Amino acid sequence: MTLLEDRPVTTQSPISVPRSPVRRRRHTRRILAGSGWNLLGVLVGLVMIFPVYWMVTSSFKLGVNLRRVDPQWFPAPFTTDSYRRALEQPRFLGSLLNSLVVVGSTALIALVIGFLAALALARMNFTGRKALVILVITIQMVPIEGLIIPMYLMLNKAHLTDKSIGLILAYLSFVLPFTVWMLRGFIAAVPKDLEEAAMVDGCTRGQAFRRIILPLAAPGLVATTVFAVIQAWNEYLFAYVLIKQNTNQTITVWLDTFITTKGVDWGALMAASTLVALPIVVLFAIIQRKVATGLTAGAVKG
Amino acid sequence: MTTTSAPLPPAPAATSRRRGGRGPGPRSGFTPWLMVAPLLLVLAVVLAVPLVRLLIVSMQKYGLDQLIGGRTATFVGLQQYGDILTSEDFWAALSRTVQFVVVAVGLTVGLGLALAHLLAKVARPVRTFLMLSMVTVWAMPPIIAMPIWRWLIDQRFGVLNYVLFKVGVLPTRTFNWFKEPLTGWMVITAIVVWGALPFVVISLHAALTGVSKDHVEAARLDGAGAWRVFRFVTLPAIRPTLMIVITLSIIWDYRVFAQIWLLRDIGANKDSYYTIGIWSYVESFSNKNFGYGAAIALISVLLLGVLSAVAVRNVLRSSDEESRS
Repeated sequence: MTLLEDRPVTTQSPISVPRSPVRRRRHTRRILAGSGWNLLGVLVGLVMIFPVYWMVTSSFKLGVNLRRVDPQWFPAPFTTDSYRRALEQPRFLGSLLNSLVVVGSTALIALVIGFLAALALARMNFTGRKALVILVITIQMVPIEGLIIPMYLMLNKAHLTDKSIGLILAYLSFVLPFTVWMLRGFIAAVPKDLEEAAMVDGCTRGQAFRRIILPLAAPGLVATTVFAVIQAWNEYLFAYVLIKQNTNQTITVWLDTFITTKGVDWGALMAASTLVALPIVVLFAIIQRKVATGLTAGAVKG
Repeated sequence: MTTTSAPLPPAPAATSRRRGGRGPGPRSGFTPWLMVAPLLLVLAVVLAVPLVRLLIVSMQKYGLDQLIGGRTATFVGLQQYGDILTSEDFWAALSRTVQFVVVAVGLTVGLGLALAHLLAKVARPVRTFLMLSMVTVWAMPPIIAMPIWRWLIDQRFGVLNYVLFKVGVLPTRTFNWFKEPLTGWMVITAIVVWGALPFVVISLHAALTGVSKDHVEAARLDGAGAWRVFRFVTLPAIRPTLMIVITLSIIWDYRVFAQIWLLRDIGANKDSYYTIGIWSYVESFSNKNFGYGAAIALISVLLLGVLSAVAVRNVLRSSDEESRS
C-alpha cells in the first residue's frame, strides 16, 4: 500500500496524477474498513475468551459477589478463599493424584512403545511397512467409545475395573495410535542424509540414532508427550465407566460429581476448574514454543 | 543387532537395496518387526480383542446375570440388530444425531471460515489478541467447559442469562435453558462449537495465508467481486484443508458425549437428548442390557466407518504428498 502511495511522486507517468485523489480516497476508505474489521476482531476475541475469563475471575470472587443480581465484572475484593475451599473438598487432591498416576503411566508407556515402532516405520524398510502405516492411521479413526462396552466387560472379568492399570490400558487404546503417528512424522522429518553421513563417517547405527535422530527429533518427542498427556488428562468417559469407586476416581470425573452434589459452590467449582485446566494450558504454552523452535530453528542447517 | 550387511536371501535383497533411493533404507531383517511387536501386542489387547468381543456380545443376550452371576450368555444371532433397526428409538436417535452434527459442523466451519478471513484482515496486534484468545480456548480441557457453561447459564446468577435478558433476547433472567429440548440443544451446540472453533480457524487461517496473493490480485483486476474471488481462487486453494477440517469436525461432533451427558441432567425430558452414543450408553450401563447396547455401538461404529474411510484417504494422500516433496 505504501508502494502505491509513493508511485505518483516517483514516476513521471502522466496518468498517475489524475488518479491519485481516487487512490487517496480509496486508501482512507480502506483504513476505515480496516478499523471496522479490527473492532469486529477485538469483539470476537473478547466473546471467545469470555467463558475462560469468567471462570478465572469467578474463582477469585467473594461468595456474596458471586450471588449478585447484577454480575460483578471484576473480582474486587480479590480473594483466594474459593481455592482453599476447593482444596479442602473431599477427594480433590486424591483424584488429582489418581489422574497424575494414570496420565503419567499412559504417556510413558505410549512413548516407549510408540518410539520404537515409529523408528521402524520411519527409518527401516521391511515387508508390511506400508500396511502397518495404514493400520495405524485407520485405528485412529475407530471411535473408541464404541469399545467401552467390551472393555468394561473384559476388565470386569479380569478384576481390573476400579484399578489404575485397567484405565491405563484403556487410555493406551487411543493414545498409542496417534503417538506412533506423530513420532513417525517427526523422525521422518530428520534428513536421512545426516544419518547416512554419520554412518559413512564411522558411526554405528546405534550411534547415528543417539547422536543424530534423537537430538533432532527431541522437540517432536516433547510435543508428542505433551499431546498424549493432554489427551489422557482430558478423558472423561472411560474413567466414568471403568472406575466406580470414588477413591480411585480421576479429576475429570471428580469435577462432575462436584457439580451434582446439592447446592453448587460456584466459587469453589470455578477454582477447581481453573486448577484442572491450568496444567493443560501450561503444557499447551510449552509445546507452542518447543514445536516452533524445533521445527523452524536451524538445527538441521548447522 | 542386525546390521545393513546382514546376509539375506541374495537375489531379492540385492534388488531392494536402493541406497540412494527414496525407500527408508536397506532391508533390516527381523529388527523392525521386533520394534513394532510391542505396539502390535498392545493394540491387539486394547483394540482388536475388544472389537471382536463387541461383535460377539452384540449377538448375545448379555445382562446383569452374565456380568455378575457368571451365567453363560445366550446366542441370539442378528436378532438385536433387527430389533434396533425396526425400533422408533433408533431412528429418532439417528435423526437427532444427524441434525446435531449438521448444525454443529455447519456453524463451526461457517464461522471458522469467516473468522479465518477476519484474521487476515485485522491489524497485527488485533490478530495476536485473537490468536491468543483462540489458543486459550483451544487449550481448555473440554470437560471444563461444562462447569463453566453451567455457571454462565445458571438460572439465578448466570451472566449469560443476565446479558441476554438485558439485550432483550430472553423473556426472563431465570430462564431455564434445559426446560425445552430446543434451547437445551442450543446450549450444547454452543459449547461444542465454541470448543471446536479455534482448531478450525487456525487451520483455515494457515491455509488462507498460503493462497497466492498474485492470483487473488489478478482475479480482482479482472473484475471479480469478493464472492467470485473466494469461489474461484481462494476456495480451490484451501480445498484440501477445508475437506480435512470438515471430515474431522463431523467425526468429532458425531462422537460428542460428555457435553450432552453432563448437561441433559439439568432438565426434564432426558430422552430428547439421546444421540446414538448416549442411547448405547444408557442401554448398556443404565439398563444393564450390554448385548443390545453393544449392537447399537457396532451400528454406530459402522456408520462412522464410512466417514472415517474418507478421512483416512485424505490423510494418506496428504502424507504421500508430503513425502514426495
